[in-house]
Amino acid sequence: MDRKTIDKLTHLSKLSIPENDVDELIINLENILKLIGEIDAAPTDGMEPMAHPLDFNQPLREDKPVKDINRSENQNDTSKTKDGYYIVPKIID
Amino acid sequence: MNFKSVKEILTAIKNKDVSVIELTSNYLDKIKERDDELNCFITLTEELALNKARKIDEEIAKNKVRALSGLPIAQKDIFCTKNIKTSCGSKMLDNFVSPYNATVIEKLNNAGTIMLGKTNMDEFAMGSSNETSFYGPVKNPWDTEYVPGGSSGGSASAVAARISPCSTGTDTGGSIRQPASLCGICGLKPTYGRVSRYGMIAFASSLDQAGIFTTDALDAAILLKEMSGYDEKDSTSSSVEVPDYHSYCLSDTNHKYTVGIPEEFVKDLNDDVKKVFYDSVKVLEKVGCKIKTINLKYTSLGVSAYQVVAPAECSSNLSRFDGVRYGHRSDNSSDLENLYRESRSEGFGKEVKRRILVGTYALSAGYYDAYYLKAQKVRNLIANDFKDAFDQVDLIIGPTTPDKAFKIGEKMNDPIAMYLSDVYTVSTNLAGLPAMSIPMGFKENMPLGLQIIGNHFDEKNILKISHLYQQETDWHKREPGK
Amino acid sequence: MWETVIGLEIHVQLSTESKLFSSASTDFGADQNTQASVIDLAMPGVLPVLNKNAVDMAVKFGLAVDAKIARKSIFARKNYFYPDLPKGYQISQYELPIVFDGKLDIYIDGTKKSVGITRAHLEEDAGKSIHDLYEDESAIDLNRAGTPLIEIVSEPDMRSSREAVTYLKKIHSIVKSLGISDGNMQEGSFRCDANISLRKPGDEFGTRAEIKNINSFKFVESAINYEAIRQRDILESGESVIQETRLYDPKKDETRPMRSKEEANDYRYFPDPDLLPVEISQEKIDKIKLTLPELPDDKKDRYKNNYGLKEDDAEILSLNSNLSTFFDESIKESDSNPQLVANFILSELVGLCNKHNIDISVATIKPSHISQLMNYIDQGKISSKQAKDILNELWAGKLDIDEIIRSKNIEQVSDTEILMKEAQKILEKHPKEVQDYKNGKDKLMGFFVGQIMKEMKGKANPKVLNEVLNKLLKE
Repeated sequence: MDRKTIDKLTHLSKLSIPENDVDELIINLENILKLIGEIDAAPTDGMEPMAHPLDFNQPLREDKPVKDINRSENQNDTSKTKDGYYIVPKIID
Repeated sequence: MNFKSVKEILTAIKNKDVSVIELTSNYLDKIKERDDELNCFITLTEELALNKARKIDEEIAKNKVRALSGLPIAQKDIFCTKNIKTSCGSKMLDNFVSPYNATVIEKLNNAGTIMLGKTNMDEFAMGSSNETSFYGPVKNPWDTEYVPGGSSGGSASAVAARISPCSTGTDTGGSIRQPASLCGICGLKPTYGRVSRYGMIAFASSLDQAGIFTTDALDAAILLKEMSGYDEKDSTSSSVEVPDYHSYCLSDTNHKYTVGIPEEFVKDLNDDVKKVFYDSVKVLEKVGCKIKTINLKYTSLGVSAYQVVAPAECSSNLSRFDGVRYGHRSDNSSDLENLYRESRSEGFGKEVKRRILVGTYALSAGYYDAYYLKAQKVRNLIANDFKDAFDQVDLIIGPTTPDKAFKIGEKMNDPIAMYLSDVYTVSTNLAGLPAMSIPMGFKENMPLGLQIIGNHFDEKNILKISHLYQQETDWHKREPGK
Repeated sequence: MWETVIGLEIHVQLSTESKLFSSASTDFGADQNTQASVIDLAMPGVLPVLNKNAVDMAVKFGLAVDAKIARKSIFARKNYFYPDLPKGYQISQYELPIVFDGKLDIYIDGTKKSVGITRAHLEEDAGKSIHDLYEDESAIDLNRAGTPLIEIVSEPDMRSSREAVTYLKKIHSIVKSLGISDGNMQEGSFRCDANISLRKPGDEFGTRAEIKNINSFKFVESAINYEAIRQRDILESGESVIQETRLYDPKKDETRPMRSKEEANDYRYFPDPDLLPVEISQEKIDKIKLTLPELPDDKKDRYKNNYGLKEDDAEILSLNSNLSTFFDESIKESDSNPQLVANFILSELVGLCNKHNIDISVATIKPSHISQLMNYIDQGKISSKQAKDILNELWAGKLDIDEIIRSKNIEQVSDTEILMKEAQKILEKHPKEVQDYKNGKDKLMGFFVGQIMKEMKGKANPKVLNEVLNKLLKE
């Protein structure tokens, strides 16, 4: 775990870490990696990865539209909207 | 007015011994009296509660009685509540008013409960002490210098302090059972899929499960029935039938349970906890249980695997908090990249950021196989361990926590120590099993919990053995300060 | 000599009523964010539930391209931040797609070529970012967020823009025939990314560039052609092509690198824990198989074998589902030779459509018009030249053929009796020419026809007139 890795991770996760906190963070993350690294030795040959605790299949929904959308309720935080659009700083593409 | 249980309250309301408005006001008064100190609530929904109480009183007058008519309840602030602030303990959602209700809220509302307020919690349910909340730590009513446990600390403390007769919680790695244990009450985490996750703000989707805090097992049985069941809005909810847990607990069928004690759960215990635990084992033997030593040999890997899976899922689950549509948006958002980075960095606390970073790392190219995939395989090892165990025993027991509550601030700067305090609880989340913590005694005047783990969808036997135990003991009747 | 290697990734919006994971309507053109439910908006706590119809549609597509249908497929999260992606991840399929290992035969000048279809997976569409609405801000409309797509990934089997476009058109025709997409390219229901690289024949594949979001057949062709030349120039100057994402600019007819580069993106795919494995039973697959409509290849065979259409015409019609539907409707009501109907549609009507850039399915001219015109030609009521004139009138908005014939006074005279009288009048006027004709000056036939046509203002049916003249001159 080093500065470069932190930069990559904060880039991917869109976080920024105050300069003062970086050293402490690196130590903490290193300790966490040490802890989770303990799984490395586990005898998992032939084990399937388990993504879900229960073994059942995806239920399917009938294709029927439901008209229950209330835009003004959904946009009750009006500081983020204009004319019903969500607004972000201009994206230059 | 001093009701001892949910059951008593429901009976009193039904018999018109007490009006719902009186009862509700009484609890609201208790909250106002105690909560400055305990900090259990983030939002008090007083007006709403009183309005609903009046409505239920009108219904009762007409002899219309719902399953939980008039029962005051505190809801963990992780459940979305329509038109009410839903903060998840985070600055990120300090300004968030949900446009919809979680299924749990909807079900409990429809059953006639009165929501007193939204309870304090670790930020995004990430924590074991309720110290990561944006709204400050919750205090343990047994000694306010101590943590109540987390992440559902507000819910647990409120029930322990008797300022709410029951409350909801969520449990991703122990967040119901651990605070129940440290606060001396009952906390039930049902089987994964038993209760709908719709509207419950996700921490780790494959581990999260909603549950309840009560003072005794029968109350938990009553509430669980109303919360449970298949929800078409949650693909991972189960359609397994919901039994009448309460009548099952009271039924005569005298089960001679075979109860397993995993060596791995007791070998490192300190003497005080060990003594309290084995005293409770004697009680179980007295009520007819057969005790058997078993092995859950991958227990020690539980925390490690959990600390991969939970952060990995959370790193993705928390991406939606980007400041664009709701939640905290930084004033310093001159361009899109800044909007994202500053909003998220200001909105999330340290622990949440740490977990997002660990999860991002575990999923990133080059590390996925070694961490995420490997952890999912370990998860399978752990699940198989339990499966083998349940071929030999009906239920598994152990202490819920390695020790009594710790002091506020004690582990705040040591995430590893904090993570390790979940050692007995995380593996059941990895396997999706139901488990409950019930009071089993005290160490230095602080409560300790007995954890009972059942097979998938076997909540009824967890509840029943707890009820049998509680008929022989009075730990669950002890109240702080009395 | 360079060989162009092309693989296509086609995004097809499925024509379900509701979204892939929410019950919000998929109707196009609603007010901004009025068709974005709490699920599409990624409100805290919401969860996805899979649309059954979208699964069925994907299976249909798989069956139509001889692909394998995964008995168990998995949804995964593709993680990245963008304002039109509310969750911060797209739900897609990664390791186990619902459809895999298919193929499609295309025909280039009658020669068959097989294009491999690596996979087709279900995923959700993103919303839209609008950059030109406000001065300092971009506006986000999430109505489209969550609309179901299938992404169809081909093998890098194509070697020219023509092959690529033919393949693309055939996929387009298939999804339209199946009724699983409206295929509307303008509205973005059918769009394509092209991966292009060059190599010396026999060499390993070269480094490829990906051209994103091309939304017309013509642009696909131009973009590939442009890119092939660009890469050739780079390679021939001894440089190397860099792997990158580019955009095609139709106005300048060029590709250029995307400015907002997806710098070393690491999408951190992992199985979506909110969704469970999708199981599809053999029974279900068999059931869906029974509902498959006629596909382009079957259609082509039918046109050739049942109607005797020429190979090229059968191919063109079968590759355009709107066109073939139009053709099928037209011949239903017409007694004419199908090849003549095809000729008329393909040359005259398609010509008009192309000139005005209008799809045949939305043209005001309907198949019934074509049947009627073809029948009138057959009956000798109008000439084929007049039919073209009438077609132009129809295009201009007049929709009653009989009315047009009356108003333009262009009905042909095919009545033998009338024509006989007119012919007799002319022949009587020109005894000398009649004699010359009888003495072997065959060319004079044209003279007689011309005179009669002049007299009748061109309304005589030439075929009947010829018969009548022949008969009279033999007497």
